[in-house]
Amino acid sequence: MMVDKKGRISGLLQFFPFLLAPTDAMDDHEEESSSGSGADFGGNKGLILFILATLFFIIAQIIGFNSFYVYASFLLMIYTSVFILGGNGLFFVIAFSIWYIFSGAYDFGTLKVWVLPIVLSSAAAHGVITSISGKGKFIPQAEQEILWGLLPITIFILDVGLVNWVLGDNNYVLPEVVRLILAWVPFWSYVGIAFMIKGGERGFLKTGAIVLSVIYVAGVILLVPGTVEGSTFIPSAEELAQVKQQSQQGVNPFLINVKCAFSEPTNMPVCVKRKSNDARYKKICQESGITDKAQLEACILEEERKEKEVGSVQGVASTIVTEATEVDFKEVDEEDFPRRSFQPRDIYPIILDVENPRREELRMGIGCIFKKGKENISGEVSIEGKKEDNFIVLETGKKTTIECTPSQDLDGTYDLEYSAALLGVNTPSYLKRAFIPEIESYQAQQDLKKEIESIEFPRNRDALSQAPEDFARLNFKFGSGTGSNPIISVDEDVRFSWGVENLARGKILRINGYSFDSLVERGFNIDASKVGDSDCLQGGNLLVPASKITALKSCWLQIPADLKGIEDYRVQTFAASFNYDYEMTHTIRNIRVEASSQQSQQVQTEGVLVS
Amino acid sequence: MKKYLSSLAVIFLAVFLLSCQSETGSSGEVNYKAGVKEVNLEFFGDKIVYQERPLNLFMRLNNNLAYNADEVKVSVVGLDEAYVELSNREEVIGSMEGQSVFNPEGEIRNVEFSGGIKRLPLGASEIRQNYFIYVDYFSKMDFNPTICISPVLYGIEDGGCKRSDGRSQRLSYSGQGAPLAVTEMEVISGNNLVELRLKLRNQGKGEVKDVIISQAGIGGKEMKCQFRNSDGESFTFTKDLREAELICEALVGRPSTYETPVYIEFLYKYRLKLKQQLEIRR
Repeated sequence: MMVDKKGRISGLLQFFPFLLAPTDAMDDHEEESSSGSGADFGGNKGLILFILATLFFIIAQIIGFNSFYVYASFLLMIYTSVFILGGNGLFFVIAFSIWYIFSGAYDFGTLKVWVLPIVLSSAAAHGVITSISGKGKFIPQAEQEILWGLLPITIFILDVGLVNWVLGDNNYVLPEVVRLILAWVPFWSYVGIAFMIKGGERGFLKTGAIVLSVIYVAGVILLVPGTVEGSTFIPSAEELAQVKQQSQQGVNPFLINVKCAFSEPTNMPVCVKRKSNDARYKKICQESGITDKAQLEACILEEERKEKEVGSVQGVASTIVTEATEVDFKEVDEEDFPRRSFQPRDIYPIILDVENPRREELRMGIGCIFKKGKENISGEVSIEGKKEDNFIVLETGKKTTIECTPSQDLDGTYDLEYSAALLGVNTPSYLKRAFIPEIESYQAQQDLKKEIESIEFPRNRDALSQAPEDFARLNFKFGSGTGSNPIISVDEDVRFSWGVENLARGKILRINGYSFDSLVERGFNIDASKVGDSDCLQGGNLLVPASKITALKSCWLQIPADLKGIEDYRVQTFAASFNYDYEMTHTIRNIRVEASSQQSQQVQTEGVLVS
Repeated sequence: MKKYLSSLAVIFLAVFLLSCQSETGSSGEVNYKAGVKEVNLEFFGDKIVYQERPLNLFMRLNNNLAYNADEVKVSVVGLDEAYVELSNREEVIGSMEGQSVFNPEGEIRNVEFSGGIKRLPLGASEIRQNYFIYVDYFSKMDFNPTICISPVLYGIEDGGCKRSDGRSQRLSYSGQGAPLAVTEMEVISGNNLVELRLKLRNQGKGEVKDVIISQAGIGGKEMKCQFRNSDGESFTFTKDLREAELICEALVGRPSTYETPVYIEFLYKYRLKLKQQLEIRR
């Protein structure tokens, strides 16, 4: 009986030789692994890991980050588990990979449900196999499986950008240096280095690799903050790759540091900042489709000017207009949605929940699309059962049922993306400013400023541009200096600037119009004798790059004559009107259409009936 | 009949005299130029208003000073022009008589500011506005105590007035019927010279701006006065600087100790500020 059992196990091990590796490795390295670890920190295996990981990283840098890097990371994780950790943690790694590929990529939240089954099953599998084969006891082996498995999984998570994804927009909580490392350091290469060091013997190649790695990470850390921007993503393999790619906005900090070390060794910080900014401007210009060299240079100069002049125009939620327009896609109940369908052209419903407390006229264009890899199949939309793709909301709130039917037969697994284009959204902005007369006595001027501050601007937010928290807002400021000081002495020159901020998770399709009528009505005019945008007070038909905050226009203003003659201070809240189109999307992942199996079933049924 | 008429005349005169005496108090005379006094403003205007409705800001101004107030001006400052439209933001009143025997209450004037509330932005239910009512005026303050001066050092008893302590005497005052007050005076005399050191304080609720000395004399003679830590003739109070020191000097021509009146007239500019709140509702 025992022989049979052992025989069956040895047969199994012929197919999965690494399953015994922990205990074999333990035998081979008894002296090293008195703790029971089967890890083999062979220096050459570490070197191979280093070379592979570095190669993958360089390739990804050259071809651009895509799902290749994430799949390569899976390979490195399994390689580490099998060849370096001697098979310890391999079940855990495989179970994690399976979960991620089939479930986690679509809904990371399923980790809550799957984490225990993954851990327990992998620990049990390792424990059972090693105890049956007589190479170890169940409990210690199960424990080893979890502990050693956690190592490659953690490295994987850090390397592909899951930390950034989990934190989303809140990734500013990470210290800048950590964000730089997460974005630019290929972790697997350093795991390879660590194992090389642990492995003992070193040759020229290994020492060279270690030295280079230390220089690289030092080069990355030394970069002055400000080049890394975080983003929020959905964690499919491709999107995880995007996380890493988008975290890497700008140029590799290592390269910048090296360039500056040679070109301006005495002025490193300034050089690094300048080159980082140049890289960022270049990226913005390239993304807007400019390829011509002369145009690109002009665009870079313009971006630089905008950033210097406009700076950051901040805005906050309005305390005056607190009611915000909101649009949300709400998924219908599981039983009402054909997540798994046998019909090639099933109907996929969703609810569009609109909150319109200001009773704006909200015009909406609805669309849907089924995506499978590079294949896109458009959907036909019906609204409340009628075949139309647009509607208007005038009420304060409305829930509308949207149904999407594929325009072609579906077969396989698709992601269904609904989109709602909100056309002509109006989001007003408000900015309060106080004007003080020319006062000779410095002390008296300071006293007055203090008093006005305490009455009119007791909180920092009172001096900022305010708007209801709709989908986007226009932030503006004006005043002396950079325009942030809300108290303006009427004898000073006034700078005016504005930008837009994307508040929701969609994108600003277009700015249809903007105007600062209250400024014009009050008598403020653009000072044409000074530099600035001639259309900074009124205009439209602008496209906005896909960044959260975009600085747009700036100019100098002339203070109206009647304000110049005031004896006491004056207060006025200025309003800006902002009209734009905005697109919201919502994706339902992993919709399975098994039309072919239904057809074959039908054929079989028909065959049976015929026979 | 003649006797009857003359008795009636005596009674009438007695009643008249008695009534005069009761108005002026037991001492026979009300000293208006004592204590700290202000121009008072009572507000009766709107505190809650609705959009697209008229706005009325009524107030009553009462000159409680012991002096006339000139160039009186009332202003409404700080109301946001985006929401409130006022037809007049300041009202020039001119002169207002202060309290005196002939006008014990001081002059009273009613002031009104009218306007309207604009339409609130879409989605705004209410807006609170903080603003000020300023009352600006020019006025004066007289300081005229009687002091004891000894032209020689180490006050020797010579049968004249008596000083409280040796060479110098320190006197305190509660006010002179205005917000600006002399609160302390030190008299230093000797060597035929007298020096007065006065502490001038803003005791009111508002802001004293510039103060100048228009007249200064001792015993009918001119006295030279200068503010310390200032350009001399005038002094500017600020929010943090509410006290000034004035030093006056005069030569004494008499050989013995004597009592003499001091007269200093201060002219000052004053601003009273009243913080108000207006709630605008949809």
